[in-house]
Amino acid sequence: MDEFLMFYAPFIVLIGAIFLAFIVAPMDGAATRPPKEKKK
Amino acid sequence: MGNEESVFFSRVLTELTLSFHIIYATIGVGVPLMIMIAQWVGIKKNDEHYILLARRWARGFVITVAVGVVTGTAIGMQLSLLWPNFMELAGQVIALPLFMETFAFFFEAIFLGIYLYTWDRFDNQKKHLLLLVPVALGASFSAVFITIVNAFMNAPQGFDLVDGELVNIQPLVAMFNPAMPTKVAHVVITAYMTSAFILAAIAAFRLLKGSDHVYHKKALFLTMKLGLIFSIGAAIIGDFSGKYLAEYQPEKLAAAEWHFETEGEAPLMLYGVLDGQEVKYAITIPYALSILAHSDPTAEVIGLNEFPEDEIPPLYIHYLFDTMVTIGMLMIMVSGLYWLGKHMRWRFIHSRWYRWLIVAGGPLTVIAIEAGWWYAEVGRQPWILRDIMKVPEAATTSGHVDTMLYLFATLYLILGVGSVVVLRRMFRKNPVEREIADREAEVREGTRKGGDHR
Repeated sequence: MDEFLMFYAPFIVLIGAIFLAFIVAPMDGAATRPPKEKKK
Repeated sequence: MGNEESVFFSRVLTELTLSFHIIYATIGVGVPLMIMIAQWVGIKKNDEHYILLARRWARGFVITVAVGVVTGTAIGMQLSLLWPNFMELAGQVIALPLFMETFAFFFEAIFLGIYLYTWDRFDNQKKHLLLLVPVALGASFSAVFITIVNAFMNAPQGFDLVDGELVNIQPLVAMFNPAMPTKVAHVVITAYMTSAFILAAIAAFRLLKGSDHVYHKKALFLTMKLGLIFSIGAAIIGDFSGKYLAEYQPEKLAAAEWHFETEGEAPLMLYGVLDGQEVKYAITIPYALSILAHSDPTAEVIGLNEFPEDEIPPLYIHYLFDTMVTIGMLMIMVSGLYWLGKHMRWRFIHSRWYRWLIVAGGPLTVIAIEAGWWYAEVGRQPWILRDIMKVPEAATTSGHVDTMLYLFATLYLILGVGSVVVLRRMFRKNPVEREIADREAEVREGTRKGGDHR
């Protein structure tokens, strides 16, 4: 198990993170959404 | 100047050069991917703000590349001048990735030039985006190849040492050494993480300074999201690095964790101070070091008692390790809360204090990069090539290293101040609002190609 984590898993995480970044980046609906109004 | 002084000044000069270079190198590796993602989003959503983000980031990126080239050349030169015995020995084995790093940089630089001079020259913006692929790949592979050289210094293999001579040299075996995967992946992903948080800090700063333009809001949301993804990835790969260290460089892990005796169920020490071999005021997390080292809470972790005293790294690396990990965890929390807060419409993430926290994240991640690099280098001491050559054996005997140190320090000061001044002027003279208005006018007049980015 440790062999896998030391030699293969780092590249899987790196490449997976790059793919995830491209998938998530266009989802920007919340970017310009205003915060909730203050309760009066 | 005596030999000891030569070694001392060689170490200081190398440390200074690497510490300065790594700032520009990190930005140089990470920002191309950020530009690529922004332009890709712009094309996909036909959103001019993201296209402008890519344009402006690319302009700033060129300045950091220019400085990175100068400091990178200085490192190449200093390797030969300050550490001639190391290069004479190790160069026979590990020259291949050193050369490949240069080719990766050429690859990046050529396509960067074409990319920069072909904005608005394509009817289909996707073709222009394709030019960024070799730029981003070249930048990342530069980091991959140079980190392979550093990994080799930590876990040298791919040769036999017979009577002080290297025989049976296998460059590919040397490149694919056990330290390579965790080191390479960690360096590359933290470069992406740091670049995202530096760009987020700039966007947050503009919002704090009164600009309410949607451009900055989109920039902040995008970069914080990317920062979150890459910082979580960095933490996971950091955990894998712990397993590598436990197996191949246990003295480095033990020194970083002030783990003096070999034992099972080893706790992880956070912060604290050292009084002899007694650790005071530390936060102790039971079993955590055994889990970090071997994914097993009862596993035995090798302690410093297993090593001769003159082969134990300086114990202050504990603070460097803690600094790196603390900032990394802080940034996961800051970006995670921001992302969640945007979706839940929480008010506090729009507050001034939270935006200042995001601004602080830029320099903080640079400090984390510096601390991580110093930890990696100091943690290998006293070796320059682990178990084969110690640092004093590798150094030059020249009596003029101190003069070189002063000259290079002056050069870095000029480069550092100069690059900041140029970047500030470049963006101050051309604010976002004006550039957006200009580009909208161009589209209306039909003078610009690629008006529709899809």
